[in-house]
Amino acid sequence: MTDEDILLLNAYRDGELSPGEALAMERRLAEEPELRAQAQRLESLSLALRGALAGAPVPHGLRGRIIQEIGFRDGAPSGRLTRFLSPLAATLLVGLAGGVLLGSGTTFLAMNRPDAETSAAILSAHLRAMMAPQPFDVASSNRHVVKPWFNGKTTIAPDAVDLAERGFPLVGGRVDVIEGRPAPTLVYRRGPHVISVTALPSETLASLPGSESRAGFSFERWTVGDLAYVAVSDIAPADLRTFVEAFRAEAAPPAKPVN
Amino acid sequence: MTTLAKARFSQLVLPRLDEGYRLARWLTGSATDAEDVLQDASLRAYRAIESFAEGNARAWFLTIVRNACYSWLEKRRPGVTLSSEVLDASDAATLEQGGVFAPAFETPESLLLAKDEAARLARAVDALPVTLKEALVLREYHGLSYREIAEVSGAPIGTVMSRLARARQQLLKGLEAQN
Repeated sequence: MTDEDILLLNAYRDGELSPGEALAMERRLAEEPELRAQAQRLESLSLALRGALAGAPVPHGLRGRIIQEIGFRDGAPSGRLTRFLSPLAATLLVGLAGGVLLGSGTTFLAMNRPDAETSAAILSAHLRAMMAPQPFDVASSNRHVVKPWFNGKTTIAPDAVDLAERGFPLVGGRVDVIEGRPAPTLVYRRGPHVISVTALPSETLASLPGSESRAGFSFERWTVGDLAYVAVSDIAPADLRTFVEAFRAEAAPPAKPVN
Repeated sequence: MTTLAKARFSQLVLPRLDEGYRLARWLTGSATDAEDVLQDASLRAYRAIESFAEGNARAWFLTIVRNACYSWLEKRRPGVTLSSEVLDASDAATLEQGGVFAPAFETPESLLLAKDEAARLARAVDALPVTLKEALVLREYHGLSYREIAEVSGAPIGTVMSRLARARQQLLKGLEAQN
């Protein structure tokens, strides 16, 4: 095996060869056992590396220290300010709540709070799954394995679309419990990141579609047919939106014949 | 600084602290130094956030972290950031393989550590020259494409390609030698 072969093999495994070069490499792999063995060694090295590199623990409180260093806080206002403001805020809130209850804003309050609770439950389920040795209960990149697996475990059948070609391979599924009810969750991967997509009856959520972020995680909510989907991941919000667009494009119901 | 800068920082940088930290961890080879470097990089990112127009925010932040690592490394260990491509063949070999004075495992503690597969791999990664390490981590952990790695490390794509191949060959060789 020449250095050139090794170079090409690496680029092939990284998906960086042109279609013509990739084809030539696939042919050579089929014919040359030595090259195939090398490809296998690279594969297992890659797997082990991903685990080892991502395993470096991030120090606790790093985010907080950086925010402090930059000199501002995101999210909750500082303790001193809250204490100072709280009597004032309480007065204001009572007035505001009274006004809102009298006005038509009642629905706003009533409907947005459960969304936040649902998001929190979905984030907890995602985080719990990330702590487990693997983030799914059924491991398969085959949508025809993942979707039927939910049968008998939940009462919802989500669209298990395969987005491998768009850079988000399906890796499996699991059942989360969201607000006391089992909810099917599809698991996708983007490089080292995991995306959890939980399906819920669309009446569970009030504001659809929508997006938010909490604790550094991005959320996207959308509907397909009568199901609501919530995707959560630590990838960039823009990447998650790309994912949602891809998902919606694949899961779009076939256009009805016009007549 | 404006509220806008803070908002953009929260949106573009804060969600990427973990991956930035891990890049710093592997490039500096030290968990505690990585934190200092990341603080420095975050501050640089914050100061530059208004000049960051549009585009790949992830590559932009990782570039800042990478450069912060390099300045830190140059200060601590001058010469360590030399790219082996600019050296002659024998110097490059010494840089990559550690020369005759590079004992693989010397203390009982490190021997014990080596029993653990992941720890052994981590040690092998730590022993790589920084230019190879950077290509490897950006590819295997961050999942960047060759083009993005070239952008972050300021090297041509061809160099990125050969650095990756060399990093992996060296890891395989090192790991197999221990078995």
